[in-house]
Amino acid sequence: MTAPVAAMHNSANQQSSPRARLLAVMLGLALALVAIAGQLVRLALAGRSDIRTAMAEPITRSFARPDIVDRNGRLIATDVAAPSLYADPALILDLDEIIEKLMRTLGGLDETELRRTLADRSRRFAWIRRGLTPIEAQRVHELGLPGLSFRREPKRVYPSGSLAGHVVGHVNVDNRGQGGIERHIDEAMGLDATSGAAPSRLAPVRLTLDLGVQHAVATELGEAMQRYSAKAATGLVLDVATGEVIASVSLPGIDPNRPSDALDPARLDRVQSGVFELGSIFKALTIAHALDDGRATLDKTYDVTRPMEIGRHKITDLHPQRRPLSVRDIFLHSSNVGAGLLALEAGGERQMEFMTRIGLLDAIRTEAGPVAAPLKPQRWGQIETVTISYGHGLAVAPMQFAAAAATLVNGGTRVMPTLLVARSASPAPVAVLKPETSAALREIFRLNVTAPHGTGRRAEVAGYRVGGKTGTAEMPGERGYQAKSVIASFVAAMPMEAPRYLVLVSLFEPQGSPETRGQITAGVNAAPATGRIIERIGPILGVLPRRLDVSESQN
Amino acid sequence: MPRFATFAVGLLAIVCAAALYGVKHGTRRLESAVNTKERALEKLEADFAVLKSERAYLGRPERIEPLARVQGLAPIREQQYTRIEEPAEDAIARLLEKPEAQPVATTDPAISPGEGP
Repeated sequence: MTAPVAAMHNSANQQSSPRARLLAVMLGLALALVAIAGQLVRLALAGRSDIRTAMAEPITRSFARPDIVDRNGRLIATDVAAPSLYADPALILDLDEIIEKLMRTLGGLDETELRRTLADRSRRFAWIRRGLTPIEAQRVHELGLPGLSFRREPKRVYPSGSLAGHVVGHVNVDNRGQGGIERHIDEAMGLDATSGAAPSRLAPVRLTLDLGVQHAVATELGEAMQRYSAKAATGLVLDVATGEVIASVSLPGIDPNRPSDALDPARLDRVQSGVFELGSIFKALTIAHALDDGRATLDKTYDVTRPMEIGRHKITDLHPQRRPLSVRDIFLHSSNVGAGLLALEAGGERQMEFMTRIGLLDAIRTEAGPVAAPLKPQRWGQIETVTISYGHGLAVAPMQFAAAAATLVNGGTRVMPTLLVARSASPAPVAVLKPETSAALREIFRLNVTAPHGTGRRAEVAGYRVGGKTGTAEMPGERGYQAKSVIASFVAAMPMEAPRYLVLVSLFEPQGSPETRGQITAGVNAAPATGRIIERIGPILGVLPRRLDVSESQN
Repeated sequence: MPRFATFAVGLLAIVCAAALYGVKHGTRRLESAVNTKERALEKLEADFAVLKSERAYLGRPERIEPLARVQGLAPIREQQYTRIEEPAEDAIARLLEKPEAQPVATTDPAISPGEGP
């Protein structure tokens, strides 16, 4: 009897056990489903909108750029995060309403283009406008229109405005460099691609410019333009030893915050992108050539009493002298005939060789781009040799001339202008002139400012030992050269016994005034403007006045 | 014995799953914290960039110069330099010859020494 009872008991256990297991499994599955449902509800309530945005975003990239600072670390350009407006056309409810409100809120939108873009509901992303101001973004936000969203992107800003506009260049809507140093950064350093507004991790780009000097030059040039009613002006300050450009100003300037400024031909960067016949400041080169070749000394005299005739051309002096002039006096009186005689003595071929040696005929470039190539005569004959000796017939960019002029006063070493403090490959110094030639040039530069009859005497500044040369070049017009339209230039160096800086100022088409007694020559406009510039920048550049300069007092 | 082994393995699996879930949850929480901090850092960097550009804008020479001129400051002139060993009365006498400008004394990095004013 015991055995059947046990069997029955086991049978009952075997029957209830599968049911219990089934219940347990169902309970487990139910719990799992509840957990999944709960998680789905949680995700739905948490509203992870970034997932949807990421899916709707196309692959659009902007570029984070390094800051640009001046030689003292003062900020010239930087990136700030700016909102950019885009639309998801599939989410737009009322196309007419959105277009009307956007047109009213954001000026300058193209309605046809906007309608075409937003009407395409197959697109999930379309830019409306990039780089909005915070106020514009707030106004759009307040419209509360579905289908519009913002992304933050880096936007280039230039706090110093037009102060260094030509040098710095500008960027496009993707923050890519379109000119000047900005383009150099793209080409030489590379950029950080970003899909947000993260700042660049690259070290700031340090320019050779000094914003204080740049401002002083720009201010004085602006005043000179007004004072002499000039149409444009350029000013350049160059370190004669290193070629570092301390200031480079071309007026009218451009503001990189408004890239369209660069399209205005009147705002051309005349320092680097324009070539001009610069007139008598070329006589410094002619005399340097004669001295360096050993053909002349400063005391050698030439007969300049009569005009020079070459074929049908007659070369005269602005202030003819009735006596033979020494080379020194040819420089001081700015005698075209004297310069022509010196050039003819050398001949065209050697003149061309000298101009090449000193760097006036080569194509050069700075980090801001290529310097406009010199405009050379098609035929370098006798008349061209003579006219080039006094600055006509060969057009060069002021930047290129300044580099050559620096060679004249720095002891004879070739100078390559640069805009970056740490340029990638500093060229080895190349001597192209004898040191004694450079010393002689320094002497007559200084004499031209201190002598009572020197054409540059109005550039004198107490204490700073300025030396320089004037140049008044008639501008070519449709009917030949125009006597009333000139480029008045002054090339100066300081302090003259051991020059550290070269200043080149040019005024384009200055007009006569009571102050200048109706004259438009460089001695009455460009020279005093240069003096005023030197008076302001001397202290900034640390050039001590004569009675304080220990190095000078020791000599 | 086999039932005990099955039970033990099942229990171990459940414990491991719970531990894995805990680790995963902790990781996601950390990720969230990192994201939050990264966003805060980005915002700080963006604010810093704006402040930096505002400071440069306010310190630009063309703004400082008129303000300095109003204060009667002007670029330093040759007469205003002096050597330390020079007798004070000589320096004062020289200054009185042309008293039109005063030397600049500023610690503002936006102004170059001797510039602006």
